[in-house]
Amino acid sequence: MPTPTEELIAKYTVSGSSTTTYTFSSIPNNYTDLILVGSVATIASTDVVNVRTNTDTGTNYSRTFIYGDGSAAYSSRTSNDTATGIATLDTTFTPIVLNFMNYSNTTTYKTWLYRGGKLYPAAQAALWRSTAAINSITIYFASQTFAAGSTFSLYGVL
Amino acid sequence: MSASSVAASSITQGLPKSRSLLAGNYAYGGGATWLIERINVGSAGASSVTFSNIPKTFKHLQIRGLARMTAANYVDDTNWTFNNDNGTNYYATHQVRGNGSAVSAYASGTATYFRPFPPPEANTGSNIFGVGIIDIHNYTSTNMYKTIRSLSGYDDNTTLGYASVWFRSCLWMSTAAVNTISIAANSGVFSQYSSFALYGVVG
Repeated sequence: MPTPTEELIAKYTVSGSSTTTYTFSSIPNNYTDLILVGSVATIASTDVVNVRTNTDTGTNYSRTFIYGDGSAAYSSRTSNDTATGIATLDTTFTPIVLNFMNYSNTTTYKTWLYRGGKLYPAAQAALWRSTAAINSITIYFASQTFAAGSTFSLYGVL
Repeated sequence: MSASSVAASSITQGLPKSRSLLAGNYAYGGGATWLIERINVGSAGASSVTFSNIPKTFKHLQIRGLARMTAANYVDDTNWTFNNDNGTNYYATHQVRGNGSAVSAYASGTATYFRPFPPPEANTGSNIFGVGIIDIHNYTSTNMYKTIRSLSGYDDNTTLGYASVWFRSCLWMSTAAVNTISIAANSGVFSQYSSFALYGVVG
């Protein structure tokens, strides 16, 4: 008999005007995958929203991505980053979805898929070169703050 | 060759459920997603994995894969078939690919398989696996050919240009309901820790 699979682990809604960072911490390790769904905007101007795992600030992240700007399609990549930049956002609430596969294994590096965006609709494959289980996910702007009403939901996939 | 299958009934049942997680969906707009079966590749590797006796009780199917293969290449494809149909009844892929420096498009001809998900292989740095989300819409329909769409990719922290993000669509030119899905490595075998999970999406 099939089994319902996704459970809401935690949800955060931004209030006020001072949130630049939100962290899902103490993520349980009893799921196979994680799915992070957000509706995110900046409070003022454009900025890149970033994702970091396990508060690892080492140069252990890289990404390959594809995006469009309304007139052409592009692909680019970065290496040896201290986080993965996933989307350039502005004051319009924008959907973001990240799939973290097999996040709790301690044998392989972690790859996740991102899709979303409004200014530059995009998809991205990101790599975190660590065999550690993911136990926290931090979402942050470098300079902007999250607009009130921005939401982040983290689901565990059984 | 070994691949262990995890029956859905053996997995703890959860409570609050998300809505549709189809690859193209930004938000949760459809029905709940249910695990049908998960296949984990063991230490001996596996040349192929198969989901059989797929129930007809859902509207759509989704497969989420995490894979790496053992041949001495950087990346290669996986060959998928439905219902053990090995005839030339598929269009393998139409794709848009971004490899970190350019975007390209490609269309294959007819084939005896379809190819929604190309994982990395042994020449790619160790411990790196590709991920793919593959949607099969209206899989029980007996009136239409089956179109498959996917989003997949991996990164390798290099500038070699093999690591990519792929959007793909594929076609099975059959009106039969899908009851079996077979996934084979085009070269080498699936490495240990590869896994494929089949989900049903309620319409």
